[in-house]
Amino acid sequence: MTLAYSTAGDATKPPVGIGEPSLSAAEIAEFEEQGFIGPYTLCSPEEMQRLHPLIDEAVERKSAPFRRDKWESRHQDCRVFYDLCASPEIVGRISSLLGPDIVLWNSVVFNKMPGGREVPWHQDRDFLLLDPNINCSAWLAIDDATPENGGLQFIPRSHGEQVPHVPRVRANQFNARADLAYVDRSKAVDMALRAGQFVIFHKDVLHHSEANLSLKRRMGLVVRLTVPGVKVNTAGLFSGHQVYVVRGEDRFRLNMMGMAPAD
Amino acid sequence: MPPCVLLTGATGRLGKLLLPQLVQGWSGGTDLYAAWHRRAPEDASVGHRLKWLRFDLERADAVINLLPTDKPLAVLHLACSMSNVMRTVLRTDCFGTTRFLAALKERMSAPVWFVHASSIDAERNDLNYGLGKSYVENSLVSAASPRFTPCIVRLPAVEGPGFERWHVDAGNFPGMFLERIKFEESISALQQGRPPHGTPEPIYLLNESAGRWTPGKRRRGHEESGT
Repeated sequence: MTLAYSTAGDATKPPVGIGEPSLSAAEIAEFEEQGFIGPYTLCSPEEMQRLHPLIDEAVERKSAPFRRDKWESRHQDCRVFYDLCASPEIVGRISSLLGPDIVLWNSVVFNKMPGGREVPWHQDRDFLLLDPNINCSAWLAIDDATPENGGLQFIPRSHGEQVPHVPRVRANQFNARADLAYVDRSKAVDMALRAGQFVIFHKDVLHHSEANLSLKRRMGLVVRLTVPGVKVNTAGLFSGHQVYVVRGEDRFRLNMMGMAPAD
Repeated sequence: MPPCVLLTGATGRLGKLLLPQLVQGWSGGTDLYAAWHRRAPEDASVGHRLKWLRFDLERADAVINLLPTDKPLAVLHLACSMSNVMRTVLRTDCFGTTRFLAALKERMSAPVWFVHASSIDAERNDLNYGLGKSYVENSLVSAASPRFTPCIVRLPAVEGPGFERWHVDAGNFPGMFLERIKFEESISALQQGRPPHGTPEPIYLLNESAGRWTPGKRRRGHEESGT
């Protein structure tokens, strides 16, 4: 399976794929109205299953760019994650929203084991470290993500307002959550994804996932993309943070630019 | 050689207040171009002091063809889309202005002083308006050179933070704006071949009401976000 175009050469100027997936005008309108759109298919569940050994091996490598968190930005040191993040299926569609030049600035693996905790309702806007705060994310299911094992939920149209967030009260809780007085949970919709499927969402849309009450792991990869001209606040991330031009080109060079990892 | 001055967004919220003040204090021999897009000027008469231009941020290169390229140019850039759809802001404010800057740098043979009327919201990003303003700030910092001097002014109240006070304070803004950018000094400097007023760091236009906003980032450090 080929997940991405070759970026073994100059990663600052990847080719723009012919026949690359994009969003139709109707899909763009739906995204702008709902705050998310999907699911789309990057690969079949069987193809994703075949990647599992590679993914599991990659996560355990000692080369994690952020030493305190092995789940953070593994596209910087593991080709399998880079190829998933830079796949034309994701990048092409997000290009329909953000324009022709696309920069990969962050990714995180969310590994929710059986019994894994709930992630409370939140908007991403205050967690992103971008200046300006231009971001579009894709959440890719590495395992099936269902309501039973802690799949995603969204509140449609919630991206139009900033919801006040309250800090956590205990150390093992999620960092901040939306004040539930401002969250109409009756409008929540489940976004069940088969392994290999992904959903694209706005930084301001309210989203959430339940605890994993099943006996199966639920692993997902969030891919965060922006545009050249946006400065990443690396002081809030980790030293050695790099960005990757995954479509078009970067004429600004505001951030440290990386090359796709070899393996 | 007297510079020419291009005011973009001349019929917008701030531009329609700033333009009369510019015209009133205008010295002879200098061309003033007032550019508009969505709102046509109420009086579009063309005089020796003022020339009206249609200016679409998406096709901003066209305006450069109408300017004398051998004169120093001062751009007071007020134009922005005011849209709350991010894709529109990206297409116009972000990418359009960036193309405009690139074309200016490529085709102007004389020095350019580029004043960007930014916003307090450029650091807060509460609105897509602030995203666009912030993006243009980054574009300007990238474009700066000895022949291209950017000057960034963050204003409150035009849109976003403090807007509820706009009707009270708006009348003071043009004078304060021109004072903060050292307009007369800078035009004089351009005339004499000296660099105009500019700084890589944004300057703030604050008045009594705006004093409530303290400049500074409000973002948190690295924290987990996800599902």
